[in-house]
Amino acid sequence: MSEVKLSGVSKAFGSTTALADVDLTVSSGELTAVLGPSGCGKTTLLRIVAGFVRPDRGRVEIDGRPVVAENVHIAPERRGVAIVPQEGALFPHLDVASNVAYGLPRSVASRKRVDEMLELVGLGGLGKRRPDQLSGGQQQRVALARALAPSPRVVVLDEPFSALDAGLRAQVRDEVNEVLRSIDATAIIVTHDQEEALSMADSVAVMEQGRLVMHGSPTEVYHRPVDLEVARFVGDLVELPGTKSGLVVDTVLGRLPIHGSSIPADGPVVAVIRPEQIRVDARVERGAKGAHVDDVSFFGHDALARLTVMSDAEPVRVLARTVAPLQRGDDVAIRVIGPALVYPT
Amino acid sequence: MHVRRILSASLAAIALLGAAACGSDGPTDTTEGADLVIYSGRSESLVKGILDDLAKETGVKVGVRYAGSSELAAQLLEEGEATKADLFFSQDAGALGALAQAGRLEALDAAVTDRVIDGFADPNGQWVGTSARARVIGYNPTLAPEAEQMTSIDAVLDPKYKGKVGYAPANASFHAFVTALRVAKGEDGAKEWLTKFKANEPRKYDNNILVLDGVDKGEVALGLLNHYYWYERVAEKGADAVTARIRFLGSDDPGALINVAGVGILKGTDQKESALKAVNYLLSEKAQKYFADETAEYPVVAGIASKHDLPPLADLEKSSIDLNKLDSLETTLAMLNEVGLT
Amino acid sequence: MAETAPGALSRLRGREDHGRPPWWLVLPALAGAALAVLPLGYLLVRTFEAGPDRVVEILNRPGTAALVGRSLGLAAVVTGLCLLIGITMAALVTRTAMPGRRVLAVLAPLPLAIPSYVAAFAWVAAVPWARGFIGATIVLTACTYPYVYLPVVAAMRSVDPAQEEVSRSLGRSAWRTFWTVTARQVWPAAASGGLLVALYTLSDFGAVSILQYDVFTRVIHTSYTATFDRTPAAVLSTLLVVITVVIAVGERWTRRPVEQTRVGGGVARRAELHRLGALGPLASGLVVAVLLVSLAFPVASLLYWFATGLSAGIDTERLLTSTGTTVLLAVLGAVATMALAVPIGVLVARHRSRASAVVETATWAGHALPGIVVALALVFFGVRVAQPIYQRTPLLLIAYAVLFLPAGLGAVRGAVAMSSPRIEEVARSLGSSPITVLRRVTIPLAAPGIAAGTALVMLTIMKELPATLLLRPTGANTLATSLWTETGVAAYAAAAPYALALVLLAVLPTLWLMRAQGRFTATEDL
Repeated sequence: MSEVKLSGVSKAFGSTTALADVDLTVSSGELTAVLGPSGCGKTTLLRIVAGFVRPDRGRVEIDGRPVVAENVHIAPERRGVAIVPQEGALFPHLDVASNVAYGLPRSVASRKRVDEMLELVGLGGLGKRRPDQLSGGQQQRVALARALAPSPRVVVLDEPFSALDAGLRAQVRDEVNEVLRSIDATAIIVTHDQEEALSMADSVAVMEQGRLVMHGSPTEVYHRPVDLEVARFVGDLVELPGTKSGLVVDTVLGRLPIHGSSIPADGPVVAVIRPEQIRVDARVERGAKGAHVDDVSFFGHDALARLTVMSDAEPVRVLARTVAPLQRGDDVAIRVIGPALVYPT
Repeated sequence: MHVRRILSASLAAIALLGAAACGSDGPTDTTEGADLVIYSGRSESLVKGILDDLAKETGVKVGVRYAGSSELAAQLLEEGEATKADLFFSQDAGALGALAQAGRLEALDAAVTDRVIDGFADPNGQWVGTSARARVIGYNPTLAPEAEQMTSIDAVLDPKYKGKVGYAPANASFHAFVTALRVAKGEDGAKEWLTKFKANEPRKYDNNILVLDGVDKGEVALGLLNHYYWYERVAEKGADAVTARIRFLGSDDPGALINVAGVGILKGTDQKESALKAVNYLLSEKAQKYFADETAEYPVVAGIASKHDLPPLADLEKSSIDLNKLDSLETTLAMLNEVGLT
Repeated sequence: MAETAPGALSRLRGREDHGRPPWWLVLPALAGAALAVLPLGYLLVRTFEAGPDRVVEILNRPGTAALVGRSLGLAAVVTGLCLLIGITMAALVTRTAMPGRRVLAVLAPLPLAIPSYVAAFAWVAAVPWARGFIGATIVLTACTYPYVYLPVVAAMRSVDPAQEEVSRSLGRSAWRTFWTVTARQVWPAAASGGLLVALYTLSDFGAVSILQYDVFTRVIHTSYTATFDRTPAAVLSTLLVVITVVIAVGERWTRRPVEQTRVGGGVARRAELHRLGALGPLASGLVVAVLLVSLAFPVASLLYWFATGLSAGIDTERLLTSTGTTVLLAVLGAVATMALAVPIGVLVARHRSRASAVVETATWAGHALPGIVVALALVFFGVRVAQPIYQRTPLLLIAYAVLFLPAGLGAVRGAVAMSSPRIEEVARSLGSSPITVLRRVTIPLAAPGIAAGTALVMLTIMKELPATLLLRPTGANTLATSLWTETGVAAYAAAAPYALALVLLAVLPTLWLMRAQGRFTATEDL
């Protein structure tokens, strides 16, 4: 298991910049998610690591050894970086076992390894099946087994779950995560799904228009996004205009403490809180604000309510994640728990 | 998996079939070990017999390459000095003339050319005729019984034969006939004849055989062709099965033109002696008898009788060789082009 | 994924990924292209020899332009008819519940086994009026429509029926859906088949000559055979090459927009078969009529001649050796041709660039030339630079490769383009070198296409006459040359066994071709 280090990596396709001066270090044995909207360059980054795209500038090192540098470009097959593409890309002319055995030398030991790997991904006994006889989730797991069989130094996964339907996606994702952890692989997974990134990864790298804008633990990324864009991208947001003074910010929901890490100058700011920081009560209590329920999306474990806050000035619309049994048209009281983040307007 | 199985199975099957069918006789080169390589523009089914005899009786090991005379001439011209051929056996004088003009033929001794009847060897001794055939009018006795009495080729211009005359415009013998027409009638006369012929809407066929077929089936009443196709047909199918008849025209008529097949020795051959032996063999009594009987052609050596009922060569037109000269051939083709009879 | 400009980006990325094709693809591809332009080289040597005045004189001859026009006209009509017949029959066979569908589907490609000169002989002998333009059109259409039918059947099977359903649900009739959705999708397949038809028609000499329709190839032949002058033949052949390249480039242009919109991952269910109701028997009747003309009639003629000639006896030994030689040459020739077609196909499908487009276009140079021109070109080069193999099997195999490379190449290119490059990347990431990927992934995946190309080339070689005649080892006879020998002296009956054997033999690769294309589709469904 190995450390992957990118420094100063840039890549343009014609006049389109895909990557601009990206530095990223993926620690050994960690699972790093590269998160970003479509077109942000994350797939290019992954293909540079795997060796299918040559960057215009920059270095890539695996375990301290440069695989991409000036005048160096190690061929993909000599990098020990196994790829799991979007739709699995199983070899349609080979059966499942032969697919998994593809990267292994021909030997008895390899055959044992194939069985092990299939067992590991929960497909023991399906070795003789042809790829088209498997479900989408099974195909994805075979693709993973195939990538892991030769014990690669690094595994890269390109939106591996996007082709699966929602229910299956969560299940396969958990299984894949478990397998990756069980063998302690260094893995890079590219995704545009923040929930996926936050729930699976040890660290999350957020990309925007070819730039790496933030790299940190899922908690950091979620709770202390470096800018408003990242904040918006990694989860639902309540954005309130406010005025910062010192360590507090005044908003329509009252005076809120500011999270220590984000400190623009005093004055008008955008204050940001997460929907789950908003408490909803049926009864108006002290320090609470009155609000009107416009709409409720019920998810079972909780619900997301869209509320209009009564205020002296213009009405403000906010989102609240709540377990309270709300209905459209209810009048409720809300208050904010915990600190807000502030960003320059 | 299936795909590969199908692929390998079919490949194996076809390879096996190939191996089994050809056995020892793959595409082997019969010139391998042969002393004398002959390019024959004459058809294998016509001359294989005599060439086999040639090998047997002269003791020369012969390898023969068969193809069309003009294709072989083109090939020999491309090959130049590097050719493997020692002897060119051509169906018509034109192909030999082309090689002679390009300087690709070795001059023959007068001793050889003198063996044939006067006028059947190249005046410069570049090649020698081996057999001859006459232009005739083929006719369908039901449609044109009167053709039995025809004496001149001008008869085919009769408007009653409109659309009822078959000919093979690409055939070398036809070109030679037109050249003869030019000699007989002058340029203007020939052009006039061809224009009338064209106006009579003659029917084009790919070759003489198809002309004969057309006459035989009554598609056309008359056909311009060479005599021996008819004899071949009779030999193949029996006289009763052939409806068509042929008419030899008068000796002074261009329609009774004689064409020759002949041989020439390629320049630069290292087998000159064997080649000469072969040429002499083709002019031997035995070979001449073969052409007379087997291919129903005219022998070119005096005093050989044919089993077929052929009018004597002396009665027919015989200035054939000059007619195949290339410069006159080009004028002929240009005229045909101009009239629109190609 | 960069979705901002997906088309542009993925195209650029494609170039980036595969920008540097490895030498072991480039070398054989260049060798193949060099061989393919050999005839052109020869023609240019002969043309330049003549000097500009002569060239202008030849091109200006009365009739030249008219004959070019007739050739193009014939090619256009035959190609149009083949597209109509090929696409219609493919649609009937794959999309409707026409009675007798399965049997007709198997019979439909078989006319490919009948050499056009044999069919022409059959027509001339039996149907006097079918001469000239009409005869040439009938015979060439009958013999070449399978070039369109086969790839279109394969393509139809791979079109996702969901698209047709969407179209129907949006209010388009089945008929309009067919022409606006299905036919569009199969157009690249149909166009490449149509190209083969057009070039076959342009280069054909045997059939048009027997059927007495004067076209361009006639002048070329007359130049060799009547005046023994190679210059006009060379000048006019060069013109033919130019026309060919224009047509080939045009074909690529017509299929380009369709090809680039192809998206992967379509999982095809089998299409629902349209019930034709009362029209069903009519449809079957149409297909049967085509088969009567193209298959039953020539075969019946051959059988008739065969029966007539039986009494005279058959030269069994010659028949057997001719068959053996034909098979051997066809197998070797197909292997040689595909050995060049595979690297070029991979190169063109995986490394799109201006250079690879040039290589692909170059392969067409030899394809529309009459066999005799290609043969003489190889005579020219053979005696000069390859004397040891001159008039031996290897040079003949090279001639076959020059003549039939495009037929094999089309199949390989299509098959390689169908499989996703992502699959090859996975193999690379698992430690395979590019050449191992070619051996273990690309070629096995393209196997059905390679098999189809091999079968097509084999089939065509079996029927080839003019080049075989001039370049074969002296004394070797194929079925085609034996057939030629016999017809040269009017012995239809004696020729019949060879013709029949040739047709029967050619049926094998035709069936194989059909199977291979069937599998091709099946694999594609994954």
